[in-house]
Amino acid sequence: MVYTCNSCNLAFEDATNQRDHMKGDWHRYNLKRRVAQLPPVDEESFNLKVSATSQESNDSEKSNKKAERRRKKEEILEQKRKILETARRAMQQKQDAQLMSGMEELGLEVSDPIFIQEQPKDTLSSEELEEQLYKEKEKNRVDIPPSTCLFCHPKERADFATVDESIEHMFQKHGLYVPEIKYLVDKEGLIRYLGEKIGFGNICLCCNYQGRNVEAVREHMKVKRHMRIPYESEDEKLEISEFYDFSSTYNDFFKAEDLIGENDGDDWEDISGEEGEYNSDEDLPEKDAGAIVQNGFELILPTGKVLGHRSLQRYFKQNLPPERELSEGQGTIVAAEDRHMLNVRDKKEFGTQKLAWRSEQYNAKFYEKKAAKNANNQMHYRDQLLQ
Amino acid sequence: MNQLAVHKDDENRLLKTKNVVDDIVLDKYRTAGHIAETGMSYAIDLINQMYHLQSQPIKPISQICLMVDSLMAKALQRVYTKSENNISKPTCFNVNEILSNYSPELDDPIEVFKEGDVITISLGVSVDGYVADSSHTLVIYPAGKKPVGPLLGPKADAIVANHYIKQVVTSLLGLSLVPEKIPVEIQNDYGRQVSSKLLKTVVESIAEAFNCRVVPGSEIRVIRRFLSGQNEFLQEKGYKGIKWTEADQEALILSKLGLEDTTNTNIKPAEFFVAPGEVYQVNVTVASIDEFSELGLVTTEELNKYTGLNNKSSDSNMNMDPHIFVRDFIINYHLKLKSSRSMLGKIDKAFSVFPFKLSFLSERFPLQDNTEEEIEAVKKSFTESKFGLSEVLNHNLINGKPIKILKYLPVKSILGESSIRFNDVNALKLIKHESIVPTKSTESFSVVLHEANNEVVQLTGSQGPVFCQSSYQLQNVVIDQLIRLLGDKYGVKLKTVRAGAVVSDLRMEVKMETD
Amino acid sequence: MPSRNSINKPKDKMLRNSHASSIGKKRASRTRESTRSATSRYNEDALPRPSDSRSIAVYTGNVSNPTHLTTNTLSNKKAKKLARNQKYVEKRLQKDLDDQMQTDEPKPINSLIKLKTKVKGENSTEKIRKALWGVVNGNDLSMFKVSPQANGTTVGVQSF
Repeated sequence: MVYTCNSCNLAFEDATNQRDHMKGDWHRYNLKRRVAQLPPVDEESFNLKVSATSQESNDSEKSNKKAERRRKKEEILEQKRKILETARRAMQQKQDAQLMSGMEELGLEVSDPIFIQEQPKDTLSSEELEEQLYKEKEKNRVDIPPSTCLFCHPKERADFATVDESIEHMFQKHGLYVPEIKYLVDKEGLIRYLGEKIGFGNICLCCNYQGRNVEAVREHMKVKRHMRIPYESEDEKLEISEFYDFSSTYNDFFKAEDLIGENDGDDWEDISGEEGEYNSDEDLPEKDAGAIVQNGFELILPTGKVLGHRSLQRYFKQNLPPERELSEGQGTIVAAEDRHMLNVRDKKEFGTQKLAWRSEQYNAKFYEKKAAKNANNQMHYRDQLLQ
Repeated sequence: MNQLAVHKDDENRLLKTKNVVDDIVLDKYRTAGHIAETGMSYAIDLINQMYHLQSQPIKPISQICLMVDSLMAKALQRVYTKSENNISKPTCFNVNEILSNYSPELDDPIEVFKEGDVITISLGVSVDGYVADSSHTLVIYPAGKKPVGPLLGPKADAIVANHYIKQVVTSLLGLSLVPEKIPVEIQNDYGRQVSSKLLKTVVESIAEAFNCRVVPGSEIRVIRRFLSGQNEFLQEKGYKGIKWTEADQEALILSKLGLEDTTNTNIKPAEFFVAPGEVYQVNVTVASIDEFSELGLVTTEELNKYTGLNNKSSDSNMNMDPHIFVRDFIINYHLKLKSSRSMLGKIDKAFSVFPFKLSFLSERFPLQDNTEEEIEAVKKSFTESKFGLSEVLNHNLINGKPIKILKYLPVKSILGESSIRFNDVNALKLIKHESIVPTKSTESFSVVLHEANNEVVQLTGSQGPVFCQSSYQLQNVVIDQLIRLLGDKYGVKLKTVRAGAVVSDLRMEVKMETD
Repeated sequence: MPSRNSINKPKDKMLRNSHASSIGKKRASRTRESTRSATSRYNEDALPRPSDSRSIAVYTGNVSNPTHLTTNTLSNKKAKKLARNQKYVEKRLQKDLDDQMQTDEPKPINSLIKLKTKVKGENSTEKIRKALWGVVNGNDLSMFKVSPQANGTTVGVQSF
């Protein structure tokens, strides 16, 4: 009795192996191919395909720069996959030999070497893997001191006395621009962090390219002109935010906010006061501390101003005449007035009212008529049912 | 159209509580009376100086009107500054047959008085809504230091009759404070109370004694805060007063013939008794019918641009359009023109419920020192205000007060019109066979029946009659008695608010004294 | 019909009859009287208040107050007939009156009452008119004019 997988053209010795195979990605891929009436692929080519697609996705992600943490995670996964692959290969060869011998015994001709694949079991937990990776990295680590240029080859001896000089050099030679240098409080920390990223993580500053070693990364950065610190998206800003201090600007901001009055993104319109300007493109500090949102369409600010939602704009933007205020004299005249003005009658309403009256009258008459018709007017009538 | 309404509590406060005459209210009434009196004496003084003493160049009537109004407006700015003070009646100079509301504007054709003209000056002032109106009748004598002789003829009759009516009415109103002094002869069915019927009969009998008729529109009425009959279009809740109409004259004629008109259902005035604590305004015009040989009625006619042309008594080219306007608050309309809207807003704010002239809308009103330049500036403002005026007028947001003149309607012509019932007041106005009544005299004044002090405070009307002699005489003992009661120490206590001094041109001293 | 106290009383029928008659009465009364408020404004005996409106229209003899508009037009023929009949009616009434004056024979009450009220209604206005015409034609104004007194009255002071 041989256990086989028809979609992958495989045979197994026992049921467990077969079951494990069925759970694997390779099998699933072949199954899909079979549905699409395509011939199955062998494991080698499948793995090639897998690695190619992952590379592709890596390249495409260049544009949307991810945070350092996420990139590291990716690396770890990559590493993990490689380790798994090697382990799998070792097991496979062993099994291969067994299978061949088994087939010969059965007298089957084997035209193509069929690889029997077994879903490799996760022998290592993720933490252990990480540790392993870390150790590997530690071995390759290149320390870049902060006063040294991040991009120049050590041969060039681009060492400086101070961090500032080094930054100056990098700005002139490599065009490294440190953003918001006014609020940068920990220059050394920032450079040290960047150095670590290149020397330890072997990662490009700009994209998530990961080189095999420091030289590869440096080469990549030079070729692609990736020698800059990205400072556009929120993630990128957050990445290096710990070296900055923007607290001096908060005061200014609050002052500006007071002047402008209120704005809460461009979704809100002012109901009570005059319309303020909107500066929604800038981030605001969290303001829901005092603001109250009422029934989804009103926002009451701590100042007491009420903002209305712009979906109700047409109701707020009405030009109603101000209410008439009467002076004492005018009030007296109105109070003493005995003339009665004719109320202007709504023609339509009056028409329907008239119809209603008419139908009412008609109904009354109809009822009476019917009652009179059905009435028993026999003088000596005796109801048979009552006898 | 939404109608304005006032809350019940407010209504109670405005119509009742605020009308209780206490010290503050009395003081406001007296202040109003003082300013009106000063304005009146200033107007009389101006006429005397221009026409009699000839110490001043003669100015057009329109300018005199504006000067008197400026004087009063400036005085009003200085008293009770927190309250609504207004001119309650722009100064009018009603000449001869003109009964009321003739107050020419600066841009009208220039008008001056002629010798022998009978002029009724009428004006009024409100301090915080407490109104004191005044009218007085003058005659232009030949120029000189003093009148050459008394005025004679029907004009004199009317003036003398009016003089007595003024005294008797004051006395009768005052008697409501001291009912025990009401003469026995007039006590009959009313007991010790002064009824409206009594007032009416007495006034009519005095007029008759001088061969005069009480002109329709004459009124003896209770005034309340902001409610002094300044707006004829208003139908006042709780109106209390006597108003003469043509039907009264008709009843008089019929009673002479020993008939009583039972078919008259039109006017049955509600009777009332004069009560202490009320404020009365008396506005009685009498017209002499001496010069008419046939029996007839005295009626009034409203003039407008078209009828006015036919009615020109003299060769004057006076402007017959209404000069005085009053806001009607019950009408609510959103005006289309911006200029009319702004004008209406201005009117509502500045004049509130009281009548006004277009010149009051000018920036330069009240005149500061009556220079040519100021008058030109006021004239210029007319073009602007007239622009907004037409729309406001067309929608009845304000109403013009038409100029009224007196007409004499012979009974013959009424009888000739078979279709008209004799007592139909309004239909009478359609008859054209009428002639102008050139002689009339109007006196109006206000009295407060002050209950706390048991005295009558006469706010306006302290001026004596002009020098004239009538050929008729009062022969009613009771009326004589009533007049004597007024001056008597033991009769009706009377206090009169006196006019203040005019310090310089258009400036007065507000200093009150009464005696 | 069995009595009200009998066991077999036609309760339902009785109730229905009374109900029908009562609402019938109500409806009849509603249609008979136009809606008139009982307030003094419409009460002819009440004193008119100053706020009451006064008629402006000229009184032209008989007043017909049309309550509704009609699309029926009076044909010429019919109008002529009506006018002619009117004349006859007047003549007949006059004749009746004359006859009654001459011979004190009792007449049908209906026509008499009509006649009397008509005469009475005209009486007061006619009387007034007649009296006034008398005064106007006779030019007897003595009773309306006051004769001047020898002394006369002088008021005011001889100064400005």
